[in-house]
Amino acid sequence: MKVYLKQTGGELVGEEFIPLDVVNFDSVIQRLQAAKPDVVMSLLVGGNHIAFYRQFAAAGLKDRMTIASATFGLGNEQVVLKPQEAEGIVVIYPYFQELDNSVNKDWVAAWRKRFGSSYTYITDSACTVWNGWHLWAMAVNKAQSLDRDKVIAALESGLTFESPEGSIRLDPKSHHVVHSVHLAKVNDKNGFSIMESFANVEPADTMKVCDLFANPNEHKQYTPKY
Amino acid sequence: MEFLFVTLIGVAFAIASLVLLSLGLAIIYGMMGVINLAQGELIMLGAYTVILSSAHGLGVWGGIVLAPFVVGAIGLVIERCIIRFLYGRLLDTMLATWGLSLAIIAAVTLALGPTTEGVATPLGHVAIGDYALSVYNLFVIAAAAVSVAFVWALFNFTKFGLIARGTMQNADMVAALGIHPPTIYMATFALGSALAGLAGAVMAPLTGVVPSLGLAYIAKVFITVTVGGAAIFGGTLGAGVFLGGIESAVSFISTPIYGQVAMLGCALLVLRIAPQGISGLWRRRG
Amino acid sequence: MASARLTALELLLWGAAAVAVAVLPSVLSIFSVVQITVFFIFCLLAVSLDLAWGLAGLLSFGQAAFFGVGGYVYAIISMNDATTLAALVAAAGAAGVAAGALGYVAFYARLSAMFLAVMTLTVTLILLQVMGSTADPSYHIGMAVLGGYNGMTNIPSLALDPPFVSARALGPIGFFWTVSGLLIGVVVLGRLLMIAPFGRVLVAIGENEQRVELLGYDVRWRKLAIFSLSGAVAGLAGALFSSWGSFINPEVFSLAQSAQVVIWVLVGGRGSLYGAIVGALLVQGLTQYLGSIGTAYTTLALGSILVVFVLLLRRGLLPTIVRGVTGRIAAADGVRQR
Repeated sequence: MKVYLKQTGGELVGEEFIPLDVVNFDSVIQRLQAAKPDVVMSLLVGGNHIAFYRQFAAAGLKDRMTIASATFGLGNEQVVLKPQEAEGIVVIYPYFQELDNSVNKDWVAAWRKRFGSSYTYITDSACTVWNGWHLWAMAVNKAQSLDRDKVIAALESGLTFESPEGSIRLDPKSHHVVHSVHLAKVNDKNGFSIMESFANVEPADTMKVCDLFANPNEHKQYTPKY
Repeated sequence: MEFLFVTLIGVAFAIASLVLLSLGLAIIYGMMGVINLAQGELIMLGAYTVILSSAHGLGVWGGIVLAPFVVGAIGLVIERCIIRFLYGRLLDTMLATWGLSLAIIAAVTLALGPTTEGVATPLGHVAIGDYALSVYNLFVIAAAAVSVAFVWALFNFTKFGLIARGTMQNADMVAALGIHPPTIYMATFALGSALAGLAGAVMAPLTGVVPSLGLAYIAKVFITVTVGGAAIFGGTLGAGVFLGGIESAVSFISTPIYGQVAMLGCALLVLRIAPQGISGLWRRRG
Repeated sequence: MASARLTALELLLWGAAAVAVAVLPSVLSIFSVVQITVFFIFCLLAVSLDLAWGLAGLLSFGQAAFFGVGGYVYAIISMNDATTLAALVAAAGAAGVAAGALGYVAFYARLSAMFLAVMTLTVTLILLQVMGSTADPSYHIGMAVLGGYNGMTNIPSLALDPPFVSARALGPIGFFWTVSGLLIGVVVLGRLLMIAPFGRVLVAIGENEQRVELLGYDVRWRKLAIFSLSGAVAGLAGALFSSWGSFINPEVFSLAQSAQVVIWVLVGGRGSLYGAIVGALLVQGLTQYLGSIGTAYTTLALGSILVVFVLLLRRGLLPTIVRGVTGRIAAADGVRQR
């Protein structure tokens, strides 16, 4: 985040780490009011952290600052929060239930049939799991074997899959998936409205440094330097 | 200047919410020496009462009024079925109530699902200089004060209160006077549960209500009550002010992480100096 | 309660266990072997609590803390280019020292059992907060980045690397044998400790501390010693856990983990060391099985089991079964059971 901020000329006015079991965000909200940022980037997770969004709205800060988040929605926070509290929060994920393509329409219908039509909301995590299993199955079918090395070789041969999120591709060298990514904001129906879509987004910074063809046994976690 | 005022309200709010949440367990512990680790789940059930009642048209305030009765009844059932057999066995009650808490969380998850739409914070906000303050925080402070006053009046000015205090001091003597202590225990456990339900209901519009809500509170409440000791008012109030004050003050000065660590560290310190809790400093427990 | 003497049956049990462990990998899949390894690590953790709680009546909610300390110390030291064996020893040592410090404060000030329980819980929670706040990459010890709630990854697995000898990696089977060997070793040592005079005094302390003191024994250093030993064993388990998954995170310091250790020993029965193993295997096995149905069912089952056991089976499974069996044998012999 800091890398991209620097590249686009933004300024970081404050940074806080919150323990997972904090429910009282008074001090954080007060510091926000003092710092007066334009955007609050939230990476909060878990049931307890939903309290932040509630207390943020209660302090009337929604009119003054926008919240953008890379984690909001994975825990169906937009269902737990009332629309007037969450509306307008900006998120970005490969998958949203509202996506308008034929694969997704069939998928959502099948999901509702299997799990009930009152099923809350299908999150990006569900689609990711779906993708993962299908890519593995494709590789096994291609390799005609369950042997680990053969399946890995098949996975590395560049597979594409028509996922409910759009078309995805497995990048051979970094073992990462090239997704279609969608920018959205929370709407007033406990869901999301899609603002803009980007196809074929490569995991550019990892692809720069991670080459599993050259170093197949590497298991290092790369973080961007800033 | 506004900064100081808003910070003071924030500290008062933290203390008030800690006292409100701990009051129920303080009564249960002070009366019967029972450490009820399912107290967090009773709080959670109070919060869910508000959620469900507002989803069915009774609104937030209706839910807050209803919650103590609903959770008090649940507490009554728990006491009759489980706690009643474990009086005097402190560590056993801790373990049994821990198991109960796991079971309740699972039951709520299975019945209501892991995410349900919550209630927004009512009453809006008020501007104090550059800062905005949620009016509901003031309501919480008021609710805590009223609850403490109500329970204090109940214990000091009513016949029930007199009998309860007598049972706390010497259960055998009360029995000799013709009153059945187990009935008193049942009533006080129900009272402690009702207060937990009220606390949960009051806190529901402030946080995301999920089945694991109780887990966020139980550690803090448990430590507040043990640091406070057996005296319900002096002890719990004192511990609430001390620990809640330290945690929020440090959170405001630096970050919530150090706030939590500072609170836990101070709790350890107090326990080292006064193993019976703050109230042990002026009270002897028989 | 285990007997005060080593019976032939018990020695036979140890022999049988050793043989079973040696043979097991050849009949089970690698996946099962790896699964059982972590179960045995949990058994080791349960045994560590039983050493303190079952023997001397010291209920500690802090075994998770010492487990975590051991795990983190192993990770930090082995990631800083030290040998993994050295890291293992250091981890157990560090946890033992931590337990000793905590024990010193509790026992030498003659504080109550309730205080010990609360204090160990509080320390565990403090560790949870502290380790959870180390998310920024600047929190590192040497080459080991602490990682906050994300935890530490790529922890080197245990290898046979004593000094002056070239290192030999332990595959899953080798690691399984190491863990099992350590578990059997700790149980044997624990039992030997229990029948030694030191152990008998500890059992007496668990029954009535005041009486033991009046008989002239200094209970403080004895309690400190067993508490530190129990902490060291928990730390050993933690180091093995780090090595098993090549991963550790602050979850090991959570309230849930602390309570789980107590649940294992409660279910299996304390005081015999074997009960702890039975309890850990049963509860973890049940959790595993139920987890495949749904996590809410696991929590429901665990919670209900705990309530039922506290109310009905206070002594835990093993002692209840043993009593039932010996009672029947005695009845069959026409002897009245006391």
